Amino acid sequence: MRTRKRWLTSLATWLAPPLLVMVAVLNLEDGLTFATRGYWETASAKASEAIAYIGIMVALSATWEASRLRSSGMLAATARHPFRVVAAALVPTVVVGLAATALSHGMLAALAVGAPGGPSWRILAVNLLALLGILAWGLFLGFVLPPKLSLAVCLASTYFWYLIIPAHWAFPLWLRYLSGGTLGAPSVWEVSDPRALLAATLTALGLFSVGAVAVLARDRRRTLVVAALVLPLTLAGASMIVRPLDAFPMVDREGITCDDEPVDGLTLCLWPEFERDRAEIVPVIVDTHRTFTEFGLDLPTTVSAGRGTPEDALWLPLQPRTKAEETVPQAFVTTLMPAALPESCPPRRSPDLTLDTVHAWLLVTSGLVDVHELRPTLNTETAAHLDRLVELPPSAQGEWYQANRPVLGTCSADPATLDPAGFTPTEQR
Amino acid sequence: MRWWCRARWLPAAVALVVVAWVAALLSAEQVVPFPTLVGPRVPVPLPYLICAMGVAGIVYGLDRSRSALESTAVRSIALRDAALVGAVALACTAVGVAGAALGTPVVAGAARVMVAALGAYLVVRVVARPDLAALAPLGLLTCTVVVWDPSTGPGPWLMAAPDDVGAWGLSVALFLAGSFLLVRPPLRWVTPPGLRAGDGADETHHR
Repeated sequence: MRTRKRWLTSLATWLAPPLLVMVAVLNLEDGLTFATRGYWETASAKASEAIAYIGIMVALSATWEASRLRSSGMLAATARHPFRVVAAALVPTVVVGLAATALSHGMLAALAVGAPGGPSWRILAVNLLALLGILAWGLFLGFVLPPKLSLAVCLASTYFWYLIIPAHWAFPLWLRYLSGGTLGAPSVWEVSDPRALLAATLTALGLFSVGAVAVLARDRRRTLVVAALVLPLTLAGASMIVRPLDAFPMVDREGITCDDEPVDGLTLCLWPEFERDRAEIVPVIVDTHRTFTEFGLDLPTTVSAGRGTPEDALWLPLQPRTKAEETVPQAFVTTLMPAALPESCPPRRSPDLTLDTVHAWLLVTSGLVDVHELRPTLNTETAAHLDRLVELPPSAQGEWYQANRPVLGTCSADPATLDPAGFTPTEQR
Repeated sequence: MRWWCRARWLPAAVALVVVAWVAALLSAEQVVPFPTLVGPRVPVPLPYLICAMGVAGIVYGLDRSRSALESTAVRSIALRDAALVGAVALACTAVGVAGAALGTPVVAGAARVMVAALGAYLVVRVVARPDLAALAPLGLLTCTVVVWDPSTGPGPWLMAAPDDVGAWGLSVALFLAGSFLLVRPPLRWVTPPGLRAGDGADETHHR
């Protein structure tokens, strides 16, 4: 078939314009609006989400081509190797799929341009493998099912795979990682979990082998037997790998370096992404650390932007490319609040008021907001507690925080120490 | 009758519709965030997607044996086909109305999607390419979703409120148009390849 005719009769050619517009709009509305800036891993992970739409198009187009090859009996008649015939038929599909992937990664690169390093090649590689896998799934359906059924089944199955599984309560949260495109948006202290990438790779390889058998075997029954063996095995294997991840396909990033020379007694460990803004960030970290220390909080003298690395350091969840006056106090507030609250507590066994008051005190003490600005946003009781709290001496405020903070991670009612009026600092006892 | 039932894949097709309805009823509260061309993601009720997928069996059955042989049958095959899609559409509407009366209005919306999906398939297979018509049900729903700007309120047509009379009217009109095209005598300019005298396009299919 001549190149021009191949392109004109390919479904990919006709689906390309809406697909490219869809990918562009998706990235403008979602990735470029909400994702963390200044970190390549986030840019790559968010860009890979477009596979949900690219995958649908690629699978449909592959099914279409396979159906046509099946109907024409071309594979049985040609002297060429079946792979070469199929590859030639799939050129428009692959080109459009790659173009849409390049568009997605290119657009989201805007999030991280200028940041150290480059795109996450492992995410990109998994993204492309997943695309190859879904293309092979399309071929499988096209060769195995009757032409008029295969397209509908392909569309339904890819909608199911990419849109329904991630959204439906009946499916566990980790199942979405198998598609290779729902890797979350890692913050600068996180990277995509290798297990999620491995599971997506395994799934893609399973799908690819089924598609390859469909091309080579040209025998429906044999292809179905192979699919019935390979797909459950790979899906089960991949599921076993990602099952422990639940809703968090990220792990803590490693390799942070700490300064040799302490700054005002503080040893700072920052990611390379903060080097550009170091001059603005460091003084704010030192000031905020000093403020909390003056309030009597016993904070570690090593402050790290990496979670849990080095050990015993105070973790600050700093965001790159944000104002130091905002991200640093916010990081202190986040790290001084409990890491996780109980998921659900029985009625009246939840320290809601304590939670609000401790959070409000941290916001005010860190310098993030003024007490007068914050008060209108609080409920009456919290505002009254906060007013009484800020009238106490700084060391008493720190003691109040240390007395109430442990309650927040538990299912218990608001403690008696919540009301600063009834709270007796150590020096007055 | 038995031949027609087998040719139309009737038991499997009806079973698929029933399974789709069961799945839709079990997922009545579920929504799928779907990107659009005009704004942020919109919540598409999952029953809508499931019902659009559920007509795949009917569509395949109708596509299956559109050979020249059928055009020479003594009994009207087209009338039976029309009766089949009409019965499915009526049954779906009845389920939708019952669901809405029992306090689950989204079921009525899903029924409307199924009626429109059948109509879209019947129209597309005659006026466009018959080999791509199977994509029409889910394609129509997708096209309706991606032009929905949620900031302007309920979506267009299939995404409108389940009791929207205009949206129901449009869906029924599409279905009636499709049914008309199903039973009307074939015109040369819109005759599917399989029905053209001597064109033998379906030979491969029956090989």
